[in-house]
Amino acid sequence: MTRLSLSLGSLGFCWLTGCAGRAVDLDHAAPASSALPSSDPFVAPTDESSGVWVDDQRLYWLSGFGRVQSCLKLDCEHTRRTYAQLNQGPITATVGGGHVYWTSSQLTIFSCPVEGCAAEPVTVVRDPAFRNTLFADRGYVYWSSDFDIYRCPASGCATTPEVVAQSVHADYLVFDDTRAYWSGFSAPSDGSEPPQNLTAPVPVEGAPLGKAAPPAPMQSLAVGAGYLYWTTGNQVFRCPTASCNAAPPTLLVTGEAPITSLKLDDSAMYWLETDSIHSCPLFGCEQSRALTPAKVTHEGIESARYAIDASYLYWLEAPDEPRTTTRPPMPGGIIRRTAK
Amino acid sequence: MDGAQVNIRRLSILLTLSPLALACGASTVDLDATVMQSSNEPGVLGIVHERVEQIAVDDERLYWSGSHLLRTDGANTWFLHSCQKSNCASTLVTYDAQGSGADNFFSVSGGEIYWYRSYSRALLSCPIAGCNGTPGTLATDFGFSAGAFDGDSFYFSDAQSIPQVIDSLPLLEPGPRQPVAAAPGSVHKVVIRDAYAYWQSELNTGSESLLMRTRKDGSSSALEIIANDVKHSNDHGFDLTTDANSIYWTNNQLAGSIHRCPLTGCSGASEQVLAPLRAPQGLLVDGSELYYTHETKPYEYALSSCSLSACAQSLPLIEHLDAPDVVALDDQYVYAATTEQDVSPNNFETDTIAKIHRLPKPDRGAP
Repeated sequence: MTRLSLSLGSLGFCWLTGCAGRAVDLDHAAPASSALPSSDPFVAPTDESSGVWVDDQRLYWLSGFGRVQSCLKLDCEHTRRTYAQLNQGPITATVGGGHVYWTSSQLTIFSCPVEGCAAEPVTVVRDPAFRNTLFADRGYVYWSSDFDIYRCPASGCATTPEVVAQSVHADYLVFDDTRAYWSGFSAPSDGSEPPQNLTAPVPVEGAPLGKAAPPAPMQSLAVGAGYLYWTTGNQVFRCPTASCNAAPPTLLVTGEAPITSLKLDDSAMYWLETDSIHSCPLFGCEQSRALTPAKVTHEGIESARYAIDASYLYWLEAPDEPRTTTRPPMPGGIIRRTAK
Repeated sequence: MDGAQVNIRRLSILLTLSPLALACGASTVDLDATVMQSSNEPGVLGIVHERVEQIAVDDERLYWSGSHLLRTDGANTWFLHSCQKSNCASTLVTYDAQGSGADNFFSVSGGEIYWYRSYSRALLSCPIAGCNGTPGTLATDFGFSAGAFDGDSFYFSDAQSIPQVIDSLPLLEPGPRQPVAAAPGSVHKVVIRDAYAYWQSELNTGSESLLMRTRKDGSSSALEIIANDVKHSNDHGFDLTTDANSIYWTNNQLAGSIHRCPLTGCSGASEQVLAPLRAPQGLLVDGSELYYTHETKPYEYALSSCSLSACAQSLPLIEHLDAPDVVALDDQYVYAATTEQDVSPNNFETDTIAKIHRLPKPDRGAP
């Protein structure tokens, strides 16, 4: 039995027998609160977006028609900036470390400073084996290629990208001040089935933080305040980054539906559950709170269906049916803003 | 097929072949007049009005296959030629001309040139001096995902067989195919060394591949695993080669590498010969020297070399290769085809003009 399943077994036993003493951060079902914070339409993008990101100054989005854009949050209407407008549309995008990154249909990664491109976007690299998702941190863009996790500076790759980790596919990749963590798998070469449920948060340098076979694949990953958080199935877990191997992970939340897109700020965690964004304190999570109606889009970039800054939650609302206009080639939703 | 992925060409205008030449059918060989021009440039054997896809040399001759962008009028776009190394432009021989040739490749041994013609799914041969009529047909109605010649046989992974098998066909006279081995997974490269056939076998898409071997005469059903950490990407060409002691391969991803194992197999992880290397795609071992082709930028290929005893990256011997596989060696020289044109799949418009170079091998004894 794996470490995690032992932990889950212990939790189940304690629930049945009433021994709740050790479960300081134990899960509780997460009914939505009845009073939702008010949401307002965000003024800048008027068409559908397939992803949204935010930093201290700016809001960024990937238009359903292939535009990578941003604006100043304080005056979005008059400060819109376009980084790329591609005929066939970017495949994906991300924002981090002062740069915007996106990929073209030619599987080329481009970058621009968030303040705006110089004459042309920087061509970071063309990788025909690029696998779907970009990650960004401190001036570097990261991605999974055929076999390995690569990174390059925003200013462009050398002849070869830097290999961050070999022989692993990263579905999720997150960063704290000193390390990167990912979950993924390495398919065996002997032809046996890949272990679909295997999750392996691993630091950039060093041994795996832990391997576990939870009842469902890992669906999101986040790091903050010295802890690594992840979701599988309806549940949120965490472990200390400094000693994740030392003890079974702690179960924090059990929702009523699969939990995805986990994000953190200094005091709370946020996730998607039944098309609604929920939150709960990082410590002492007794009952989660629904922040949005159950209208968050299913479409677009999974990790970018919402974004958080110090005060607000920006999320993509699924368009109402029936549609009155032709949907864009990269559908998503209309950006809404809700106070946290 | 690996090593031939660059053959896919698109509609455009054939620049130089004469109308008479274009009218020629599959067995016609009179295409020589405008294919090759001599050059006064030092080290250049000639200028070829084709995109050179593969080259080979023997003591006397240089052989190559070349292609043009596909045409709407059905004109031939794939050609197989040779010429004397000493006077190439005036000694041109054309063995075959076809409307397409994406999976064609050839080998030379025993005074004959052998090639697979994908259009007719046939293995053909001619004397190296010229076909003097219709090429000989050694086998028909078969296809493969990877193939290799030795002096006596052609070994191939049957692309139609599920699971895949490796069979052989005799070269010296027509004969039935002989089973060599069952080959689990997808086979992208086969090489022959002494009594063994070696191949790369990908059992899970996106996972590391196996390198396997068995006796090439089919006398053993045992498959030996030589390595289990081969990183084969479908996005670039892939190569295997051998010397007397080792088998080498290209981990052909963007941050790629060259690895090796003893011919009898690695007991653990394979040995890294050179890394990082951008998309290595072609390998030749010549004594103690390893020649390898690799990308320098997207769709720009170069030839470099190193001493196997201390392999390290150095400046390329030659850049702007016409294709990843266009390198050959004889006792004294390295032969390679180059072009300054766009050889990416995005080039739908312009046919290629290539130079075939002959340059001295690197002198490792020089100060």
